[in-house]
Amino acid sequence: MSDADSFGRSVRLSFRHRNRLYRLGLSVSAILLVVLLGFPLYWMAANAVRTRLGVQDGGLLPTPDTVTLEQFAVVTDPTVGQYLINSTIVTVGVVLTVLAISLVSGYGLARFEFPYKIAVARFLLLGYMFSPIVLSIPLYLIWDRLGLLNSYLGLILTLSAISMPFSVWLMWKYIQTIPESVEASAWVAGAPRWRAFVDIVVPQTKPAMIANAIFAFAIAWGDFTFAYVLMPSNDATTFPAGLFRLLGSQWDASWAEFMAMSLMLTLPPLVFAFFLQSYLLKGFKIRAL
Amino acid sequence: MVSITLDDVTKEYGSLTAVDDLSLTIEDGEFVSLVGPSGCGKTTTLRMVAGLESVTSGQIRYGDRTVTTAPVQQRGVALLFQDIALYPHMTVEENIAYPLKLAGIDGSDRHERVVETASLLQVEDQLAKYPGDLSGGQQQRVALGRSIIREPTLFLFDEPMSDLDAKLKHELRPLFAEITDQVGCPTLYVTHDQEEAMTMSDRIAVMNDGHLEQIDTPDRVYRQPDTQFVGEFVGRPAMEFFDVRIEHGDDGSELLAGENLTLAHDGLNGYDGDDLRVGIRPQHLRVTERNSSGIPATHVFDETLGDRTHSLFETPLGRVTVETPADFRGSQTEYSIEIDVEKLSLYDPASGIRIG
Repeated sequence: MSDADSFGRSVRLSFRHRNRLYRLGLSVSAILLVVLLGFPLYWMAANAVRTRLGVQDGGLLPTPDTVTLEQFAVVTDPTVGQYLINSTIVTVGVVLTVLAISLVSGYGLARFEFPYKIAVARFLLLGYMFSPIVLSIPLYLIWDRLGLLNSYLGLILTLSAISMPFSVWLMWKYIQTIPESVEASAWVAGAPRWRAFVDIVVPQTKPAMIANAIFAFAIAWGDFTFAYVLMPSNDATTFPAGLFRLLGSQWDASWAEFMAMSLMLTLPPLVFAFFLQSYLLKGFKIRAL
Repeated sequence: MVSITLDDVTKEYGSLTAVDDLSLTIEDGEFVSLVGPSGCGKTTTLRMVAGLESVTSGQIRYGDRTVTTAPVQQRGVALLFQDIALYPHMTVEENIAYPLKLAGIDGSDRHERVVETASLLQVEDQLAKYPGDLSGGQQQRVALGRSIIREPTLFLFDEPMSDLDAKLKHELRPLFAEITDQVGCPTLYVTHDQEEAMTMSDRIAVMNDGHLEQIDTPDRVYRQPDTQFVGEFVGRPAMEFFDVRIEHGDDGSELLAGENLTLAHDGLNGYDGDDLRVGIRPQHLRVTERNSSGIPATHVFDETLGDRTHSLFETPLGRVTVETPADFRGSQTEYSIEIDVEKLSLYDPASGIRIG
């Protein structure tokens, strides 16, 4: 609050009071947010480490005689194990595809002039106008024709396409902040254009690559709709869609097991984002944006 | 070792002509500065010589070899950029070694040559650091090291000192001169700072608006500017100009006459009755007590420089700067200004070209 803002106000709080009020407001909203966002996570985690009976009893805290890790044994179940493997393959595939394509197209947008460049880049963003379910039905028909249903390649292509507009834009803007002279000095030294790209440009885009990787990871790991529609066979299903499938296939849902599975689904992105968050922020802190 | 030749080189961007019919030769081992105001085409010229910019028409030759269309990678030049352009993700050693790595030279040989180059530039104890940890002067040295390590055919500088403070510039100037001398290849140094050009060059090429105005030794560029623009651009404070007419005095002698100004001059018979522009450096103007022969002047302002003073006067010819002695203090009173006629340069007012 500058002096100019408070000038002429009829009711004025002393700086000390304003400061306290501000801190109070900050704390209250922070607590609210944590409770709102955190409780479902807590509930999932709390129930994942209880016995079936413990789940039925409810209660905020698991009691000593109901605490157990036995629910995690569900991973050894061949179906669940297959889901995990499928999810991992698809996610790794999407992250790598997104990184490769965003680097190349981001570089192209940043360094070359071609007709309708800006229009093309804006057109990319149109993809975000449609919800996954709208896109997945026609994709199902197309993938069916191409024989890409139930294949890793089909889902990797789809999810990469969904992550791409954001990733390409981020990389484009990030590469714009790398002075062209740094690259030119490599050309002068005798490096062909691709070599300068690999040696000089790519290493400097690390924050943007990490931001893109996290984004693509989140999209691929958490995707439900596309996986559910495009991977109809049970063997090909990824974790989120598989969870849903398991829930529907059982007459008596064993909630503790589902919570354990959900927790395992949630942990990798959490860990991934936690360790790379400083890079994520760097990726967004682009001077030229 | 070769000389560099530009033959009628022109660069157009659409309808805009950035460089117009430029011809220039840099002899082997010669240090040529390309100087001019921003937007005059000097950097474009340098980029064409380097191969970073295509040439619209004309020819560029390194010795007998025509390189007009050769890509930058095949020209073997060294180029020092304005923003230094070190690779921020590589250590100093990796930076300097990068051209050798591209050339396919082994790790141990590479290290040896890097150490040799680094000690030449006094950065041998910085090799393990990253460019971001170095001072501005050290970064310049590293960039210099990276460009000379491959024994270039031609050395190019693109305003490498324009972002540096004055003290650092003074420190680096002799270093640049020394290093280019040691490397021994032709050097083209682009700058907008005429002082830099004057102090470092064998010859200065002054550019304006895409044209080469004059190319000559610093001394001649300063003493005998070919055009009004060169006179204005080179030397500080800038040359002063007055419009005059050529007239004949009662005794038949030639006079240059302007408002409140009459100067005896001869040897201009061909220009009888014509308008003319005279240029004179502030160093060749003299301030005296108010008298009838000089230009009446009212003192406005003094710039004290310690060893001399630049004094600004209001005269009927406009505001004029005069170089005065160190202890001169004008105190806003009346003076006269006298012109050293021997030192006049005469220009055609329309074209700005020197006629005497």
